[in-house]
Amino acid sequence: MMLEVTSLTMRFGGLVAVNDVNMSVSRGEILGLIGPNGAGKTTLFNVIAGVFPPSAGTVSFNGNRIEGKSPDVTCNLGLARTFQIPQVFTSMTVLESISVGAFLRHRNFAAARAKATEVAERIGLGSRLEVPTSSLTTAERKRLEVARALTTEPQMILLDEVMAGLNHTEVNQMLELVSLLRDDGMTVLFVEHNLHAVMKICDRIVVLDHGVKIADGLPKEVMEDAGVVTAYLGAAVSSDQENADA
Amino acid sequence: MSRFLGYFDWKRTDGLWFAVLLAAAFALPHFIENDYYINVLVLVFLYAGMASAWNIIGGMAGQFSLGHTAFVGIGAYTSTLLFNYVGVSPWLGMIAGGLLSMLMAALIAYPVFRMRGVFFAMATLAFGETVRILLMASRKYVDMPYGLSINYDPGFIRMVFEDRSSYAMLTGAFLIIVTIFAFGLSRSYIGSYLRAIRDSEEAAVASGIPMRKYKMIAFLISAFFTSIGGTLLAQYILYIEPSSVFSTAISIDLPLMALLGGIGTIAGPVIGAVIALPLRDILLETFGQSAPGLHLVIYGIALIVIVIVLPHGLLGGVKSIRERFVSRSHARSEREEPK
Repeated sequence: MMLEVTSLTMRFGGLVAVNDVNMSVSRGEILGLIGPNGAGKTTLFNVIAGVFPPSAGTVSFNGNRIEGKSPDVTCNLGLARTFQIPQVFTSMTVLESISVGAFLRHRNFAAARAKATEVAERIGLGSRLEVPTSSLTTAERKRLEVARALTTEPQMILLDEVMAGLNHTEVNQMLELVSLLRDDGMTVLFVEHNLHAVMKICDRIVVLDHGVKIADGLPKEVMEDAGVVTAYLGAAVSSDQENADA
Repeated sequence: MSRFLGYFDWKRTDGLWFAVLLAAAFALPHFIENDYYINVLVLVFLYAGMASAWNIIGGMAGQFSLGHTAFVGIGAYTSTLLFNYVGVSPWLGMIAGGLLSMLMAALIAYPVFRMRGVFFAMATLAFGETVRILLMASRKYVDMPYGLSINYDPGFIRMVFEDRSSYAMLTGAFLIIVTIFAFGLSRSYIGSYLRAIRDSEEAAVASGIPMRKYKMIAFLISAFFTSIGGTLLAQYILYIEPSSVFSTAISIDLPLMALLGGIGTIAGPVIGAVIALPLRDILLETFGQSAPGLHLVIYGIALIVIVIVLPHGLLGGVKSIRERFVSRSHARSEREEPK
């Protein structure tokens, strides 16, 4: 297992945001983490990324315990993340900001620049290298996030709602990008609202509701799971009706 | 050596700028005969160097310190006390003061780096004041006069010179060393990390940057060079007292010069010092007799106007004009392209 989350609980005062969740991601897998608003996806994601330590439970990455470790340590171990709202380095050009990630493994300037350029070209930002980051579109900023994470040469990448705020075409482009990552053998954990995207790309889906894991399996199985449907729609739908709708 | 050079992003024009700076720092003291102008030159070099040192933590790393007078004062006091009471050459005292300033910076770094933006500025401001008050309070227990004079006894080893042009060479060398250091930092991965921290701490940490470590590096280097400036100031004036070297005015002047020229850039603080100091002097000369105090009012208004018109300093202003020009000519060429 590349990432292993064991009986993880996160409390904020009296609120239990994540309750005793077990989850694992194996090497090369693309795992989607979904759930209705307020289900605890982002909290779980943030605990894995090291934003805050869990109230209880462990997170291990490649056998190293990483819960409560600061994000720069986890990044150094090979677990990189993106932000839902792109955090761009506003004073830099695209190439400069991608290079920031590359310096983690390449302190030599030319080597870092070469790595950054290579990743930028693969991500589809090759023609925008000298553009200031402040003039990028939302879709480009999301790509920049992925590029910055990838240049740290991770084994696994955490994507926080990379589809949010993108239009249909841009979602498809982002899906192509994630497929590229899959071809590279990258392990991906994906927090996502966009179910269409999740269904299309994920090998496996974990569903959270009210902080509890309610389903874990292949996309098709999960979507047919009565508990998941209830969580999303609030009421059970009979299979007859579902067939009629389809 | 080539491996070392590989850590930096050199550009072709770098050598040219370095030559210009070198020529300015070593030729100007020889060409200027007038004592008054030499005095201005010494202060410009000195303040430009200290503003550049401030700029490493305040501009590049974006941690707006308002307590740098503490380092100026520690530098001035350490070398002067060591010279007056122990007989240590100021050349060594200068290094001792620099190291002591780094130690102080490391001590306060832990609490102040937990704060961001305005809170960081307030905390460092309080730090600067505290050091001065502690020094003044310590006179109850230690036999030390309020002000310290350095004997006027010219000699290289004592870092006291007969003519002002030697001081101009000395402060010029200081400016060059700080500039080279700041330049090297900004063109290496460290400079890139500092800018990343300034722009977005979250994204910087997520890119694998141990933030505290790099803020600390910037703070220590900045404290060291600011402290060296303090020693040079003491050796030039030959008299120090708590209210002259531990003064909020210094803490504000250094960031002000950086802001004026272009905060976070290498040339910015130098340009800022070149403008601010003579401007203040000219205003004082013009209005000092007829309307005392008016020069400060006009100085203040001038600064406010400059900051409003050029929010990114003079360099930022030049850059935006150039960009506007380039994009306009770009748009024109696109329009003229046949469809």
